[in-house]
Amino acid sequence: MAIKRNLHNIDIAVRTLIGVALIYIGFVDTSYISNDVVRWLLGIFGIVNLLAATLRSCPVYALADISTYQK
Amino acid sequence: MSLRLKLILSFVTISLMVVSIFSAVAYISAREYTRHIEQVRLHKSNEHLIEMLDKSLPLLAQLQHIVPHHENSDNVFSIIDASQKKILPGGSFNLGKHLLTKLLIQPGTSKTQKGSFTIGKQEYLWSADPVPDSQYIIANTYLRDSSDISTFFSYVGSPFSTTLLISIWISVWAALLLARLFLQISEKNTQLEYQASHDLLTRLPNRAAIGRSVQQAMESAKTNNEELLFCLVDIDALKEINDSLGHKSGDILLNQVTQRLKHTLRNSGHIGRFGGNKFSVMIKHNEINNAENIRHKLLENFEPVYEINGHSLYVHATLGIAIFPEHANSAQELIQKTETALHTAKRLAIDSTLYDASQDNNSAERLRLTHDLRNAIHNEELQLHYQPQFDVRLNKISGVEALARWIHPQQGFIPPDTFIEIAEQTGLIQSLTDWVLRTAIKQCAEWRDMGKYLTVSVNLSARNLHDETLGSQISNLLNYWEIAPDKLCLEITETAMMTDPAHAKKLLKGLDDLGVRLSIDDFGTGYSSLGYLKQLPVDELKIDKSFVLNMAKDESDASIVRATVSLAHDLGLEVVAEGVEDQVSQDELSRMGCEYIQGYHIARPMPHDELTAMLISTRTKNNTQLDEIPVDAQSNVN
Repeated sequence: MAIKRNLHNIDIAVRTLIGVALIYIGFVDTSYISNDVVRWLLGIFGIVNLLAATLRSCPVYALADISTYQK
Repeated sequence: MSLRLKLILSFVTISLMVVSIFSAVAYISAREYTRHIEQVRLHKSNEHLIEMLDKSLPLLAQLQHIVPHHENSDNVFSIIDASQKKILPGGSFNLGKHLLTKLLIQPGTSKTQKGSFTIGKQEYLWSADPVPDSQYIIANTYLRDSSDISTFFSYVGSPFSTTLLISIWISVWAALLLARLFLQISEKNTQLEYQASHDLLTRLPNRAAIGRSVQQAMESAKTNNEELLFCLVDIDALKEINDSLGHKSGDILLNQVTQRLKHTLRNSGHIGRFGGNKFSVMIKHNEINNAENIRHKLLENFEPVYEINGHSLYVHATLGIAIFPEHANSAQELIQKTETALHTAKRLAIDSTLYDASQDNNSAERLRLTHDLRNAIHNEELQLHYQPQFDVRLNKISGVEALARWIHPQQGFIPPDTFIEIAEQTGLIQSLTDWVLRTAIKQCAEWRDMGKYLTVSVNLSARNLHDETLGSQISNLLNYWEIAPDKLCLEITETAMMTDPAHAKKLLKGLDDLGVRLSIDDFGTGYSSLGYLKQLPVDELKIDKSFVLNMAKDESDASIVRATVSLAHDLGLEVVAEGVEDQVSQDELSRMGCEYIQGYHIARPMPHDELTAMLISTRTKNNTQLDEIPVDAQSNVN
């Protein structure tokens, strides 16, 4: 099933930035947060955001019938 | 504020509150835990000092020597004499003073005591341990760091913030999903409410919604002392259009009618779809919107042709109108009165009527009559009267027509037209006909047993022509009473036959096969085709009395009767003339060749015992047979 785009470019850019930042804090430079569980949580959230930005579709948006993307 | 935003704000607030409460509880718990840890540490320092003491040497001197060497910022010792309850030199005197107020001094006890006290805003933790086998107590006090909370948050701040961030994030997701779910449920409910109150084809309020609107409008009209006009518009040709052009065409017509009605009323009235082919219109009744104007306006909608799928159709509508408070006091009553007005208009074949109580067939009185008729038929309280038919050729009574009569216990004589119409409308006609057939055939058998071979005529209604069991029922009755089939004549009106000609023909064929006589009643008043009549297996025509009554005065009526007699003979049918009220008519009919005559000139309808008695008395007087009563004798009983 084709994934329907529901993210606007700004939305994608924000998610990409957040995703990259969280992955960096979570997995790359671990000096910011000493707690491993917290770092992992942030890292996973970063991956989720980056994935949504890459696919240009947010599953929560899709379920909630929201779209920031305008044709 | 949208539901979505409300939910997001609520969820984020809840998240913040949960994380804040959790932080506070965690902080308080951490404080309690560190207090315990510190007090254990203080106790251990005391124990360490006590272990260093040599019991063979003076204890106080040793304590006063050791204590100052072990003091630091985390351990401030005091030496207390338990027996004298005083602070001894060698330790902190000030803190010891405060400790004395907290300590429970019991000489000889070895129990460790611990607790806290505050000086100003500073909190001190302490642990006091008695030196074994002495009156001395070593107390260790620790000034708790006032920056505990900042230290605490420097450790947990980062995980807490992250947790807060993640919980807010999840809250927003949950709020979005929940908002969607709520909206879906809300949309569904709105849709269901709409469906329950609207006709989906025309998008107009349905009957239930119309009822509520009328109720509300009436309440408002009562308050403002206004009048309300309610009208039902019945599209006459809808069924034909559905049957001939298909239901889609019917739907197109309904939508076009809706548009025209909306255009006519604009915003001055409420339009609704009352049912299948009925629309309702509710409007304030005043000088401009009076019944006549509204009637005119609404009927104008049906003057222009309707274009449906390439067909140009003239559609006719019938209106029924009732007015609040003139005709009704409740919504239900107003609607009911409007329906009555509509039925009256349809019955009278006119395009509209305003409610008229005298035309109301659904009155309580009529309902009571229907109920009483049902009981009367069931309890056999009706009477059967017989009107003789005279054979002109043989100069004798050859038959009778059975006529139902109803003497109501309270209301007295109810005209046959009234109760037969009720019976036809309510489906009681079948039971009524059953009873008439049973009674008439039984009576025919009784007369036969007296030596009188009369033919009994029974009227059938158009509804009886749809009774598939009629033939077998008649056959059973004739067999049971051993009556020859040709002694029963079934009279069917021309109009009844033409209601469903194909069905009538089939049923009449079945009855003819039984051998019973068939007669066309009220001939001349309907619109039957002669070609069609030729195909029916009938034996006689009964000329309607409206022609016979006037034939003596009106030459054209006489011509019609003459032509009918001639036509009937040409078709091989016998003729009965009804409504013969004088000798002149009888003679004229006799000259025309009419076989049978019936009317007040011969005899009025009468109960069987009266007829029997009259025939016996006539026989005695004239010494004639029952079946050979001279017509003059008959005329005497009129």
